[in-house]
Amino acid sequence: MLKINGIRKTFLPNTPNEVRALREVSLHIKEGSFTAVIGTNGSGKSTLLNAVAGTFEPDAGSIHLNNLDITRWPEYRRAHLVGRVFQNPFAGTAPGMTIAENIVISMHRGKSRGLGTAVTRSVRDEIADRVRVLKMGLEDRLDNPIGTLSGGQRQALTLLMATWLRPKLLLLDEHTAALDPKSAAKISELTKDIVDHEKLTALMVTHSMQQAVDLPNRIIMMHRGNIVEDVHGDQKTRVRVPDLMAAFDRIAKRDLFDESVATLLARQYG
Amino acid sequence: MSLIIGAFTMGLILSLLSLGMLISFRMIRFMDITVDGSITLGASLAAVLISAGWNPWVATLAAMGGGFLAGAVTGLLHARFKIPELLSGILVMTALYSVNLRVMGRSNIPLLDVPSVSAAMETFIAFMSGGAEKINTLGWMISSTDLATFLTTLFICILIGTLLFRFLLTHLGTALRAAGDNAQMVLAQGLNNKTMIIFSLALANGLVALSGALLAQYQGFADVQMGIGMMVWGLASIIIGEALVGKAGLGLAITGTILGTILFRLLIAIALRWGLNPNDLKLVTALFVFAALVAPSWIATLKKKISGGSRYAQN
Amino acid sequence: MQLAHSKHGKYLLIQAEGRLDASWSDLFSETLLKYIREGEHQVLVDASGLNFLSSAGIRSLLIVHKELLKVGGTFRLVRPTDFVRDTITVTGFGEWLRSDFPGDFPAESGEAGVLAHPDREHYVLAGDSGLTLIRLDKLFEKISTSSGREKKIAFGVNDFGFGVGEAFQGADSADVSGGGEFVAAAGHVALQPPDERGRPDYLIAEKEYIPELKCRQMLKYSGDMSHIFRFKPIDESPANEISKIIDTVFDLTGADAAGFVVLGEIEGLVGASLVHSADMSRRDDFLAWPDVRDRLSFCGERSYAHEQALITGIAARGERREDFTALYPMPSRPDLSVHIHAVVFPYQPLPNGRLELKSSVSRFFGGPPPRAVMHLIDDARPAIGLGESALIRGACWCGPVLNPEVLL
Repeated sequence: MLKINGIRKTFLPNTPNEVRALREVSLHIKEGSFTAVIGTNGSGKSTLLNAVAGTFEPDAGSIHLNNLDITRWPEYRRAHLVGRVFQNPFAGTAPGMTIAENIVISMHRGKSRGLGTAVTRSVRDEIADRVRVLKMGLEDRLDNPIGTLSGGQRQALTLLMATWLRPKLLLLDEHTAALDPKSAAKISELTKDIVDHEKLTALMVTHSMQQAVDLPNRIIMMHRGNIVEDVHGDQKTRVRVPDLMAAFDRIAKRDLFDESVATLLARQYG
Repeated sequence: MSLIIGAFTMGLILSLLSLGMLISFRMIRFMDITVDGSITLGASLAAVLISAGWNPWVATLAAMGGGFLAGAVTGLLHARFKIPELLSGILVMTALYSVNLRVMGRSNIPLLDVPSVSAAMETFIAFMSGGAEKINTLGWMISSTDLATFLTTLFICILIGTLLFRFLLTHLGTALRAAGDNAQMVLAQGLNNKTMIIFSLALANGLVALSGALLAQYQGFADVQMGIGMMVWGLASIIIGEALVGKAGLGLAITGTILGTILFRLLIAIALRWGLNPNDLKLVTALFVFAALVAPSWIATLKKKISGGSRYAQN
Repeated sequence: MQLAHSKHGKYLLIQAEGRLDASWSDLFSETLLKYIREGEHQVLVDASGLNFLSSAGIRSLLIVHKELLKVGGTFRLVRPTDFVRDTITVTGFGEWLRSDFPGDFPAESGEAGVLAHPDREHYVLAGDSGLTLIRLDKLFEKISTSSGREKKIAFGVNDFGFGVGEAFQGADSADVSGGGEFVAAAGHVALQPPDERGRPDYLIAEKEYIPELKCRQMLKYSGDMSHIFRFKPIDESPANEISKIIDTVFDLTGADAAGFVVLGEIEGLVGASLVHSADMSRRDDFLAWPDVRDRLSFCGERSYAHEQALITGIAARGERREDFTALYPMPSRPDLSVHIHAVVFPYQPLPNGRLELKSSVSRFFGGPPPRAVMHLIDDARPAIGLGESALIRGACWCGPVLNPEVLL
């Protein structure tokens, strides 16, 4: 389904601020699986997601989606196959435009856009039906600018828009991180419902250990541009938040384990 | 009275410029300076082609095409070559100065005794009125030429306004507006926002050039200097329009822009009548736009101070 | 509510005034638990100023009572008001109540905060006893067949030690994981599985059963401890570093080589633990950077503060250092050669005085499971070093090691 092979990305190469964000990362994701990517700040988890979304081209390696080599595809072209929800609840929708207009745009994701009227009566009814499922009362406010809605409502709509045309891959970039706890829980639940119902293949970056345990069926842990843990199958069903915390702890310890520690241990170990 | 009808006609013509700028400045939020060059390009193309014996309608359309191209070049410079938007506009505007001189062959082309787009209307009015020089319109005596020009311009304005309104509601138009509102979202929805910017700027400058073509025909000449300051005038008109009818809704935005431009021209006509030195006009306009840009935040602070003060007084 | 405390002989007197209800109960129990941690096990609460007691207040009294029960202390409410007496009698805790101070309660108070016990309180257990040390080291031996790589070792009630091995599960199992680090003391063994993901496992001697381990490497010292001493913070140095404890061990035993067992509240432990023990054929390779990071886990910071540690170790000084090959000089104290391991347990209070080793160890193994097993390291790296492990207070049993090491 999604095959990431040995991608590398260095930001600001050959400068003092050089960041090796991804170092030979390979990841294969099966159709219909829901994968969470967790990691410390600057671990490369968002970079990995952006590499798939096409925000930048990797320095090396390839990305195949649906048996197509999308490595050199520009961002907008990948959107034909990929639905995205961003961390910023304001990033996924056009605030000055109405709910209906926003959704109409997503109804034509990856299709040609002609000179036909965008929001016709029948389209409007279709939108109202789908929006009603969110149980946010938004179906009565289809002509209100999206900018007047709350972050949670906007994120719910972004999620709906990202999955309106069934994407080959759904990318969720910490999509509940900027919301209040109640909205975050609601969006979490909505994500699970949609992914389960539509049997979507999804890749989610998250800060929330609980979310990583609850939603997906596979957890990837990243650190310093590498995948350091890959928990899936039976192992994933057993994993709990403290296990993930312990894994982070191990990573932190390993970081402090430098050559001087090795020398120290060599003298007192045996 | 001819002053008022003149201001109206002028306002209607320039409202096409304002509509173009509504697309670039407001819809896709692009500070497009090409405007000063492309309005002259429209005027010079129309003037040259009409002088060469072309049908004025065809010449006007061709002028519009010229503006369309100029806008597309600005868009390309910005989107493809990653030149900052202001600089892209400045580059094209500067280049257009030479282009316009090349097109015209000199710095000024008079349009005397050549037909204009209002020719058909003039014939029609002459037919209706039996060839009278002045016509009683709602109690005022107006020259039939002025009336014809006014009516033709009004027709074009309404036509363009309606077409623009309809267009912005289509799938393409919706995508165009979204590109200006949230580029990230547009990318995620599979739209190439670079293409959207290029197309929008082309469309905007096409309208600006149309305005220039009509302006040349109305004034009776095209001048290589005529574009200077036009962008600020257009901006002022948009701001007045927004103050008049607000920003809610596309229809209102388009109507407001047209009304704003007309009102602005009227204000200028009155000011000139009261003795404002025409040379100071652009300074006054610039000051006005400055005030309009600063006033909202200024008023907000003032309001806060006043309400804060009253609360303090209650305590 | 107001709490004041003063020291009267062996008693700690808490004067509580006001209402002991939901808003004050946590403060009350936390304050008293802190004193219990500091070794105050005879607690009297002067309840004459206590005019209200809610159910949350009773709960906080119960928490304190239970904690004192663990260390054999006493808990009394003296001179209760009628309201408090009635409430406590009704709830069935009448045994706490006393109408007046006990007979041995001195009228004059001692200085508040100064403990009655002398510093480095110590007892001689069996002056002429000593320990014998045996050592097994097949860890880094290159042996073609796996059968010869480990040896079955039993750890009875008089055995102490540490090493690398795995639990013996009846018949010899074919799988050779290489084993994990273990600490054994008085018939109890805590074993860290050779995968840092797992929590430590533990084995306890019961009736006929004696824990047996398939060891690849171990140090075992057996016999009776000759001394016990208690240590606690003193003003100038709140922490008792391992080297300081070892100095006391040498002082008391008068020996230049000694085995010891420590139970105490942790100030901070510095150490490493084995993560991956298979493929340890050569010592140099095993400890070589950077692959060593996959085999050992270094704590990275002074860890497990305020938990309890069970520490077993061997130390030698002077010429006796030459007798033992498995001891390593402490970088900050080159005169001492040591090998020390620790098991970390969640905090439990220790009774005062002359503690019995076996029952004290049992107390910990009988409680919540151990959290970690580690090899203590003296991290004397300049500037970034974490220093050596230290404890706040606790007990240390020790005895001289009589023999040079016997290699199995």
